[in-house]
Amino acid sequence: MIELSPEVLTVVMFGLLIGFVLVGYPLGFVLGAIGLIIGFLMEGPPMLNIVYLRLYGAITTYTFLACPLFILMGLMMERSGVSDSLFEALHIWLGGFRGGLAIATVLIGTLLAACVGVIAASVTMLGLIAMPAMLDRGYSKELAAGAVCAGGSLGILIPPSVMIVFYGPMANLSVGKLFMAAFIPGFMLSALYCTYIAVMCFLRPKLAPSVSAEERRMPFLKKTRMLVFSLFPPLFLILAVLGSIFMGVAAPTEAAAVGALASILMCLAYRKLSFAKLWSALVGTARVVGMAFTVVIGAAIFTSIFIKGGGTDVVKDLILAAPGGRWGSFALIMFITLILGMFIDWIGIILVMIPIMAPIGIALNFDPIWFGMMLIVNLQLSFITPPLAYAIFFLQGTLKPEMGVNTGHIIRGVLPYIGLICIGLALMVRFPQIALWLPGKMIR
Amino acid sequence: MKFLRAYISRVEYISEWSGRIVSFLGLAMVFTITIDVFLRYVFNEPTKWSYDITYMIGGTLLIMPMAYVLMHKGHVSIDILYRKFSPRTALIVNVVLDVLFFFPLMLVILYMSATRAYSSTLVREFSNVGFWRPPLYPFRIMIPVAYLLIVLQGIASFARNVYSLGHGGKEL
Repeated sequence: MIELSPEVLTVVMFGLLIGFVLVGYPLGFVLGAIGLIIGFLMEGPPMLNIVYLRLYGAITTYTFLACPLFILMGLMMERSGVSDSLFEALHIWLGGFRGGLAIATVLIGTLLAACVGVIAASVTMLGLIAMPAMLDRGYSKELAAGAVCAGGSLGILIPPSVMIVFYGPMANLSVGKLFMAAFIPGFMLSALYCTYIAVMCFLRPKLAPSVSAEERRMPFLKKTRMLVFSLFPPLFLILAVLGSIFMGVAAPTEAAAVGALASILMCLAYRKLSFAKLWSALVGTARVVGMAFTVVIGAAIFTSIFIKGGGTDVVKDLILAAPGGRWGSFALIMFITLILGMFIDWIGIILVMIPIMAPIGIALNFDPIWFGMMLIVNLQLSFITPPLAYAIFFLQGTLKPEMGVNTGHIIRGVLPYIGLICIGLALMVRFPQIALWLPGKMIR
Repeated sequence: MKFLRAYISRVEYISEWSGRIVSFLGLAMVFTITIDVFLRYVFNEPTKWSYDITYMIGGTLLIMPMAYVLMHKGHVSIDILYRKFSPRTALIVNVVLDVLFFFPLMLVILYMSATRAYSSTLVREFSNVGFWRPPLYPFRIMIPVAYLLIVLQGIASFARNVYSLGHGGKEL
């Protein structure tokens, strides 16, 4: 048995973690193995039992089961083709305004966000549908790419989001309350994005020429029918899922199951359901889940030994020592999250950092729900800040060479949104009610 | 070599189909939960089996596909540096870390879950989280089965990498 002081333990565990993750070995294996090895050195054979208990605890956490269900719901929505018809409808309605298509992109991102919950799906869909449409009409590449990346990333924030399903159990908070708390901040960001696009296009019309009137000409009745038919089903699905959580009728896992069933029925209604499609969505779900839970289990082993060895106190002392009182400490936490988000996958950050950070938030006397929302909104940045920016990767995956969009265009395109998210965070600091009003109104 | 090839093709066949078949549990879980919700609100009569069945199905769905994901190299990793490695360096990193991290972790979990499943079967352990109290040992047995698949697939992936390393990057 080796005695490690908490300080040494912190440095060793995080040093090894960062080192081995950066050479590209799977995150879940690195987390689990470091936890196991360090734990075995400190605790001896009892550590083996801890590994099993943590694994068993992770896979029998009922709330986590909402994760596969929401992913299935999103994948079925994707296969229903609703986003294509929605974009077509908004294209007719908003195309006449300067920057209308970019605003339509963000709006669809927002709506998809509410049913998808995984950003890979929404960025890819927008990249395939909206990107070519905007470029064809002479939109600037930066503007188009920025709208797709930022709009698509909203999926992880606006409920039902998979990120929150993981955040809840990690911080001992109700997932239902967190869902409600994320609602207004999510729409606030969406509104900020749309306003930004509208202002930019007003100031510099060349960025986004309006779509010609001939192209948009369509009888009013047909136009309206198109919008209603593409907008109503997903809207209904969202309201049913979130409404049942809000009214206290269903736990998130139950709401997720009902939502998944509804999305399958929606595919049926759009005549897009086939056995092959359903199976591919199921296999896609299994794939994301297998990937995510490798990290969940690894992180559970890692954090249990880190907490047992007193590492949390070291991190806490470090953060409390920041100048400027509790807001100084808070700024430090936000900064650490931002930096981590640039390099590490959000799932690793949530699963490793939240068990350590959430108690610090409470010690600093912040409302846990508000504190969680700040971290989650902050993690929005992690999708668009290079070098590790998933939204950018996924968009690149959908681009065709003849579009002539390179990484430089995309990065310049997303830069303003980093500023917009920071504005959003500042608003939430000034007006905490943005996050706290809705959960306070919840029944039960 | 012939034996190794046969091993790899068989294990990869199992991994592929384990993932595809287990994926149907997602649909099963949709039904076990929605039926319970339906009965509760329409007939005011919640099922007593839904909770237990759901966490057992769900738990299986969470870990069974890991072998499938491993085969498809789908695990979360940070490839900023990795992309810049030469193919040889990348192979060495993977082989070394498989020995250092992957096998110890997975074998410990396999061993611990197998002993737990064995003792659970001996005493015919029952679930005690709900009122229904179904047998728990099938779920306990599922865990070592899932990890056996992961270890088998891990050996196959490891063998591919070692072969490739010894034969100048050629695929097995």
